[in-house]
Amino acid sequence: MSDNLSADVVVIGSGVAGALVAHQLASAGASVLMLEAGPRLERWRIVENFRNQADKDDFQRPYPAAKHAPHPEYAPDNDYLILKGPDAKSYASQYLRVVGGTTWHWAASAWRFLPNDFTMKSTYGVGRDWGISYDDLEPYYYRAEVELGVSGPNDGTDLGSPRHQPYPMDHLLLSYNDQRFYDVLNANGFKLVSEPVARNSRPYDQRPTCCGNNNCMPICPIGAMYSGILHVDKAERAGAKLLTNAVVYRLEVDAQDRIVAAHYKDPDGNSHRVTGKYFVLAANALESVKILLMSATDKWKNGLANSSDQVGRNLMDHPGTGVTFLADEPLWPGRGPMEMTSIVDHRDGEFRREWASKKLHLNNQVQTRHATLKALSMGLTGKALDDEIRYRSAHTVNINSFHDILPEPNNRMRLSDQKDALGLPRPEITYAIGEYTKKSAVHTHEAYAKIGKLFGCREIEFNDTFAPNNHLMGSVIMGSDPRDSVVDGHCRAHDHANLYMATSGVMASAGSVNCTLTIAALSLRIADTLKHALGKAS
Amino acid sequence: MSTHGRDDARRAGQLPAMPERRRLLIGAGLVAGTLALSGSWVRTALAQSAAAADVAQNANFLALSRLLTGWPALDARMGERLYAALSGEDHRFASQVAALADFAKKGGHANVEALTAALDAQQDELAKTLRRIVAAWYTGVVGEGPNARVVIAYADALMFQPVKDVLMPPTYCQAAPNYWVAKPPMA
Repeated sequence: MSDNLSADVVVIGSGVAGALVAHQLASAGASVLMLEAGPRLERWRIVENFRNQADKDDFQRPYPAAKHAPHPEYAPDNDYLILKGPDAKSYASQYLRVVGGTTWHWAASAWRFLPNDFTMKSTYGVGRDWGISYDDLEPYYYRAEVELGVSGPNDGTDLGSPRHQPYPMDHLLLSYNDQRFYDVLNANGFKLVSEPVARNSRPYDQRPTCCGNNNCMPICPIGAMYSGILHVDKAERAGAKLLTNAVVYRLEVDAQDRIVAAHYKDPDGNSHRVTGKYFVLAANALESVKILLMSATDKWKNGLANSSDQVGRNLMDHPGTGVTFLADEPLWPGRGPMEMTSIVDHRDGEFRREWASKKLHLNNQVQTRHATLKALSMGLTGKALDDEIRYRSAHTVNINSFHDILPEPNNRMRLSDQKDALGLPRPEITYAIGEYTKKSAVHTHEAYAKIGKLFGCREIEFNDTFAPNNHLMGSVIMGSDPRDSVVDGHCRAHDHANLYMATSGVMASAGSVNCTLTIAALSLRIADTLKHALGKAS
Repeated sequence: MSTHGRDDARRAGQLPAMPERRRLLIGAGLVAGTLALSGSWVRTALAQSAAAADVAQNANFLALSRLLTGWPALDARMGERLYAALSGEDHRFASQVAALADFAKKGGHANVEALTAALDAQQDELAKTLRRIVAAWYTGVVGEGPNARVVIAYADALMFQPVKDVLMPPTYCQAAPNYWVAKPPMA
């Protein structure tokens, strides 16, 4: 029975973070057990689910939530996340509880953080310092780029994060749409760059070159884009054991504060116990918090790893705004991958003392469906309908953004009184977006207007309501002081010597780029630490 | 992915190769024999359905759909499924289809835009039915609301036809990597 399972390392969660740790350690000869709350899905099934769903904008829909391991669904809303506070809706996040995790659907942007992102407090007097520096992480960033397969501009473009090696692959050539933006914006005071992405520009790691299926979100049909499932498969081939539908609900701690076991429920509600020497919590920033809080004992009344009372606090994301307009020239978004370029002129600078850094990105998603819905809503038929679809498909421009947000202890997740099907509490989130971010969004709005003007815009529509971007950070925050942080610079719980957290929850600043590559780098670093601890380092 | 519409029609030899699909309905091959009698694009299209009276309802719907969308080679099976879904959500749908066909037959409108305008002016309910039928063929989806919508078709939805020389339905690959670098057609 699985109740007797034991391993050197028990990894909870099988997304990119958990899978990288499992693959590294299994390859080094350690015994590794992965516990995944959700089921395994096959790529072909996800593709067919997408083709057969009515709302093509709902990226969660191709991944139906398991009853025993629900994840957020919004159309219709399954109320899994209980959202409160003035900006509750801005944290209506998407994530997946399935084997492989949420990188099944992402735009594959594989940015490094900037050196100053790690030292916000000491450099700009706001936010927090991580306690580790960019230089500590630089070698791991490169290893992560090799593992994920990152293509990027090897032409000398400075993205602000110093590198010692070139990208493993050269970047894909820009789409006509992106190239026009590149030419027009860079000639008019903006800095628009080709962005590094975990997407193949040539055959790499036994996966094909991107051929522009334009469906990175919600599913790359051909595996040219990296997803955590690739390292799950590799970890299994290297000898790691994966248990699916294993919903961890408690970590068991001994008198010396070491974690000795993980308890999980199967879909029928039966309980099982697995033991290990080391435990890696890699169940995403919210589900990991859930497990720590559910594991409360008499001694650890506020939950495990929580002597600082910071578990679940400092929730961050990248509040996003957007703009859509019709350009005065046909640009034909939708040829090539869904995103290729970003505007990066406000990722860093003295302004960060006062307002949030940000990154803007041009959407290169096929617009046919939106164009059609609009044309139909105009009541058109016949040739007029076809002409309108064609015009809007060719001329629609959509730009979105990520804004930095400061870590605030009151932005937090708690366990709700409401329970899921297994009787486990749902996450309850309280969220407010402060002036620091709002000020920056005003500046972003002006930038949108300026870009619109450069393209002779018509029908410009600003979306100034902050949208969630599903970059869940801060919930098990890193820091050098155990009194105000949850993990140390090696992602190890201050309170538990054999508990590591491989999740974007450790990130102590949000910066202006998505967190996946940083999660991957931190996870590889955790794997190195554990290899040494287990005597498996080569 | 199967395709329908003008390319299939051309391959089947039904229609001359013409760049503008709106002209297909009044293409010489299709209407030469009947134009003099009917003097109307409408009667021509609906006449096709009379020959298939054994599956009258579906055939009538398909004929009407050809008329309303302007696409001559609609997929019959997709038509059957759309008809079933549209009828399923509105019990008056069958009679509205008949009324719409009747209105179209009598009107002598030059094209579907003219028919739409006439209905907007005189028959509000039928105008709505017309647009429901057009929307169903173009989006491949029938119904309202997150739970009520039925997907009848994806890649075969007509919305992809007006742009198919430039864009693919997402998930499908158009050409070799980097095809996207080239300047697309500007029209």
